[in-house]
Amino acid sequence: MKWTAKASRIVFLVAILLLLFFLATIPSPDWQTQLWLGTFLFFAALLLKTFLDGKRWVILTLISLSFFSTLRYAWWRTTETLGMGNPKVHWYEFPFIFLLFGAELYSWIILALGYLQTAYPRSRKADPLPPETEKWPTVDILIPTYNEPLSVVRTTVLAALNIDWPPEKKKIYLLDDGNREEFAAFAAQSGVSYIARPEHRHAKAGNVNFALARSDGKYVALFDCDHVPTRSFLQTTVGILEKSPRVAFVQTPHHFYSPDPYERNLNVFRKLPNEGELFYGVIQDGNDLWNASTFCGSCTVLRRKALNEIRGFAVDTVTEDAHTSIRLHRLGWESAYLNLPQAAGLATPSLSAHIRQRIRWARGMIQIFRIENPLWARGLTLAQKLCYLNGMLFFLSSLPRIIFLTAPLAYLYFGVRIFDADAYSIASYALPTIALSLLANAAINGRHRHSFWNQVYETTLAPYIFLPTLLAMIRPGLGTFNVTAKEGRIEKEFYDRRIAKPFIVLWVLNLGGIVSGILRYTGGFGEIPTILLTLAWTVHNLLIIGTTLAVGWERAQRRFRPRIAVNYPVRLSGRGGQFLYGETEDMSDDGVRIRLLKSASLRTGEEVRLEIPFLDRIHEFPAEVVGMDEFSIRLNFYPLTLEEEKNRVLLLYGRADAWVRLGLSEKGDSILKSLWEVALFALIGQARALKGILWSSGPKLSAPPEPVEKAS
Amino acid sequence: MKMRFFFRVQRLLPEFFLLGLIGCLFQCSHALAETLLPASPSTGRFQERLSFRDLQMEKNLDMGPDSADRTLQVGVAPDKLVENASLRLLFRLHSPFFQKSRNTLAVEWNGVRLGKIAASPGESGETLAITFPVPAYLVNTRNILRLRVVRDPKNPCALFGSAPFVTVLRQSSIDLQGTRIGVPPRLSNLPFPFLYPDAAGLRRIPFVLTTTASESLEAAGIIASWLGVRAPYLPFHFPVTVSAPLLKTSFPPGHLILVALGRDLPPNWLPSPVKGPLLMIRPNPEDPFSRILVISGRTPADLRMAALYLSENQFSGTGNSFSPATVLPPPRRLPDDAPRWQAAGNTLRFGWLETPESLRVHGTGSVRVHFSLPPDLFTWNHKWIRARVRFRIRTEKRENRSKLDIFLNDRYQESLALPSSGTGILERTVEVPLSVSDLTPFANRLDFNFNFRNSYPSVISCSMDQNPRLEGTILPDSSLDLRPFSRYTILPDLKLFPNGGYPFTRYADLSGTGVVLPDSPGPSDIGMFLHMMAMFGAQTGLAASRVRVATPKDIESVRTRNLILLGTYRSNPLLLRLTRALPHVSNANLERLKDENLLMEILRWNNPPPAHFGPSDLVQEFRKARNPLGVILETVSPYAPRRVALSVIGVSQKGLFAMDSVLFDPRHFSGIFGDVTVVEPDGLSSFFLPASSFASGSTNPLEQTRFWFASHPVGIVASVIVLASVTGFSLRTLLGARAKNSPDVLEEKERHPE
Repeated sequence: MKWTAKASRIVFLVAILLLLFFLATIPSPDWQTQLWLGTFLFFAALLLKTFLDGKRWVILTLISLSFFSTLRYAWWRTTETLGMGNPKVHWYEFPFIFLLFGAELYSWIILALGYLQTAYPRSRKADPLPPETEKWPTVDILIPTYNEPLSVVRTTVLAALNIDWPPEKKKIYLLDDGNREEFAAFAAQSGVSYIARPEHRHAKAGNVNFALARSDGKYVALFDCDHVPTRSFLQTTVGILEKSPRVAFVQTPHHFYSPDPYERNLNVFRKLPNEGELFYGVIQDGNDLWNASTFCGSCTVLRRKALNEIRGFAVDTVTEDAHTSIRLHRLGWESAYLNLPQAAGLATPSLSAHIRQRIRWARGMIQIFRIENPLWARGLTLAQKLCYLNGMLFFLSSLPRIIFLTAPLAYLYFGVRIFDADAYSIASYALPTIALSLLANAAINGRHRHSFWNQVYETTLAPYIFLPTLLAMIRPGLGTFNVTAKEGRIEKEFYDRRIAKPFIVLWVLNLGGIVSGILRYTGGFGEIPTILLTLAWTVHNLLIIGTTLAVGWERAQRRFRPRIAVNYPVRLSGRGGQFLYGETEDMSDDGVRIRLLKSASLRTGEEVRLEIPFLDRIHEFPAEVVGMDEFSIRLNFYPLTLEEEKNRVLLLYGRADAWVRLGLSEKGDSILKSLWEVALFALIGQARALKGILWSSGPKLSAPPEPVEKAS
Repeated sequence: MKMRFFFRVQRLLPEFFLLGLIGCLFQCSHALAETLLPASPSTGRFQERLSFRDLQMEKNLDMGPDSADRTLQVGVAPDKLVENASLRLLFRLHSPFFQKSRNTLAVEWNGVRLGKIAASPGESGETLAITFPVPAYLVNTRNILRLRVVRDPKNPCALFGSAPFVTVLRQSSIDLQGTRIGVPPRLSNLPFPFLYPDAAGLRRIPFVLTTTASESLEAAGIIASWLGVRAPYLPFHFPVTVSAPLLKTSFPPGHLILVALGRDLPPNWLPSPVKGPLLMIRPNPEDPFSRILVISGRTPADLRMAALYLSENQFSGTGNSFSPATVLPPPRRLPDDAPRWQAAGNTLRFGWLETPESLRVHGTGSVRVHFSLPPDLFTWNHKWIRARVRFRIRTEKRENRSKLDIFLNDRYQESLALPSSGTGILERTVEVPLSVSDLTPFANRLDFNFNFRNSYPSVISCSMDQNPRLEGTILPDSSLDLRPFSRYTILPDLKLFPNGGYPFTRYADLSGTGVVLPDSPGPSDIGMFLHMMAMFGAQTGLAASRVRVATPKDIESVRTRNLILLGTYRSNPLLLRLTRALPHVSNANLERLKDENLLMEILRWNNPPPAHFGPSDLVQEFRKARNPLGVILETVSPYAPRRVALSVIGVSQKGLFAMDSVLFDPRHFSGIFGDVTVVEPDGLSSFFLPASSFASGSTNPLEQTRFWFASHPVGIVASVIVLASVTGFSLRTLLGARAKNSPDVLEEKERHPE
């Protein structure tokens, strides 16, 4: 596109934005008119979404409508409802008014930046490599580890060995910061390089930088020790780097084959989108349009030259990945995001582990905000600055979230005004704005994040990340790097009272608010519309808090490694020489379940040989029958040789399409259905909370040990 | 057949006169229902009952220990000598639950205590009555009735003692009896005895006309507006009699104004025939104690001249008649320069509005500041109007919980703590934001209530100090800041008609206004016209010296003006043309407003926002409209661009007659807005129509555009949908192109070799 045409389009868009702003600032003569206006816009948007859903121009139109509505609301809130100069507003009401306004201001900024990020997901395709493999570049695969068990790491190493890439152009490095002998032995046995450094400074970033100096491949692939790559990982990613020499790295999604705490504790695995799906499914893809996709620390291929230019991975913060990508972008390097899961890992095993992980992320992002604030960082484009800013501001959501969860209580308990406006006006401005933003987000996020769930996720973190982010804001150097727990077993379900404490407090406060509101209503203490509005708001808060409470109920998880649904044709040969044919239903590192084509009877404990054809070979595994019924049989693998184990990893984790679209929900987003789900979970959650508080015993966790903190 | 008969009857003067008389009697009986007991004109006695409602008490009065004194001004015309007077107070005592102290309500007449009402248990909720005789020697032409709460001296600080303990009902009344004085007929005393501005109650001034020629009606209009100028803020009634020739029975009792050609006057009234404009006062032949103001001349044009002269000049000496030789019309007024309208874009000093004495109180009390804003003041999108209040107080040390409460049009604005001045005087200046939404388009009132209180916790009420040494003064250089406001409005807008007479009063001399009356106007038509002129005069402060009256046939003479059309569908055929937009284009249909089927027709008007009444409210309102008296409708004039036409349509002459008392009652002003108002006996219902409009005045173009969109939210919706769709398409193209042509997918290897 010629620059003049582009410039004229931009001028045209700016003119439209100015017109929208102009229209947004026109006041409504009364609340009925505003309600009429907002409702009309909402129904126009609803019609568009219902009949033309999925079209990008429709999504962009919905974004524009929501943007307009939010702008109008924000203008009204700022100019009409802060009580400035109104003698009827008492001095003690101003802190409440401004706290809520601040929280809303934050949410408007996040909403606008979110629209910018997700306006047009790039949906990049893999670029092909030259047909001659001798022209393929050399790649170093780095797998850093610190205290994770070998059982976790060996799968990743074996999967790395399985990656389809010319062996002479692929070097695998096991970077053991724990200096463990069994890791060195395993590396020697499997034929990968083992690097252990004498000093353990700067955690993961230091570990990888140490290895960078001792390797020389053109590209560096980096995997967390639990992220198991597919065999096609390099073939799908390196082509982009080869084709575009200014691209510093190609990031792929982090897929989790085990349920995260929300999915497990609410029993919604594969029914609701994974919590990380929004980021990897929509935001990163949208960032890619602005050349702002971020390096996420794993499942990435990076260009060594680019890393050398920034002197390796950033070591100043506990989120070295985001920090490294800022530095790369600042030097003009580009980034690429391939929205194709090419590796899978383990989700955090418990809610407490999940919260701990997010505390680190939050702290790290705020550290970057302080140390290398993208807004002032030279070399970044405006879009990059804004995308990074949104990534960081997200972790400042704790205070606004707590304010939203408690704001109506100020009125219900004490009759303190939090708006200088009547309830009808508030409702007429706010409700259409909320409805339009829900609609626009449902169109954007679709199967990647259902409505209302972001509030649940934010509420879960809010009480816990508030102090760390505040401290990081004040003293960015404080704090240590804590390794995320990746594997763990819960012998018996329990209610995590410790982690649920703040939510129980919020729950009780909001319940009290409801009671207080009813008393106000019946006693005539206050304006009825205001009471009803704040009561509705409190009920909404109770739904969100209730669902958060439900996540605190840790369900039993007796396997270290989850079963993964895979379908291979199999042949079983028993001692008697009979052959049984069937298909695998699911498989884990320990065993497999098979659905037989014909009924058969095998004895428990009987030894069988399992044959699975895949690619150009038949993979054989010795196994023992551990259970069966007429058409189904369950086998446990006998101890496997390294080669057999490698094959099992290939079958289980290595298929190129193993994880494609698995993080999405089965169905798209429906706002009302989502509200109903949240309401249902809220009821369950409150029952669970009561049961948990009154009867549940403490946690019964088993090995592996809790992750320990490591000095940064 | 009936119609033809009706018109024939209307042309018959004696019958017409009879109709007028009946109309007058009807009106009198209506007007007297509250204010007057039957008078005995010829005996020289009078008997009058003034309710508190007549004394401008708009609602019942709750009085408690914290209430400021309430004063009512009771004026008695100087031609009445009061011999017996009594005050009948109707009141309700409140529940004694919180009334632990024995507070009393003292009633004073001109500073003399008449009696008191004490809170007593067991009588709460009941309407009680007490009559206080008022000594005749205390009744002057100007009297002050004061209601004051006196706290229980034994228990001045009772817990919760600040709650009101008594409600004084507005049906309370003052009865006056006495003799009438035949005042000397002097032109120099005008407008007395026809109008005594301080007199309480309704101003009932009969008009007798001998001709309904346009100039004659204009003359009557000028006189009515001149009376309005002299007595602002007061309601009028103009019973009209049209009678030619004049008979003895043509003159109703009481002071009256006669507009008559010289040839129609009784021959014994004048020593010589009338040769030109003539002004004269003479006794009413039907009532020796009453006077007739005669506006006369040889031609109808002379009548207009005489009226004009009267409205423009002061008389001196003791003469009772005057024949002006030449009458020069006053210079033409500029738009929006009515003397009583405050200028926009300026500051408005209180010293220009009230006398220094009225800005001061001694002890607890109220200062009232009346101000008239231009009706087209463009307050849209303004939340506050800033008042710079400078006040001076003299308090004593113990009154450190004293406060100044500020009200705008009876709506609370702010309460300022008054510091104790010790023993001296203290001056303060504060900026007070007044809510623009509490302003009315024209007449407004600011109340400054000085409450002097001693220092006790707030739950304990203590006596407000009535010590006359305590003083509160609003300094004359206090001001309202009108600078941010321009003069701009969208017409037609009925809201501006009762509140300022806009746009008819845009030219204060009504040089832009034409009134179209029926060919043969009835007493109700003329009465309504006169009342309108009086209202305009009161609003502008200027007589309607250039108003023009026309008939439907000679509409051409007034076509370039803003028009007021009065009458019924039968009497004024132009009304049919101008009210075509209404679902009732005939008398029959107007009466069908009772019929709910018509609601569906009305709903099809498709009320556009901003509508104070949505469709459901509209249904409700029309369901109530069982007996409409008439309709007023304001539209763009079909005769000239940027002019309005106000149609005032009565269901019948009777309906038009009854509309007069509803339409000009200030209590109903807030119910008149939009494009059409249906007038019922008990109130009004107003609606917006999707009618054409135009802007009057000026403000900056951006503001005009914003205002247009605010008035047409459908425009916002349509624009936003279009803009959002265009944005959606443009962004898709722009971002799609970016995604496809991103630099990282260009073949750049040559440019960036590794």
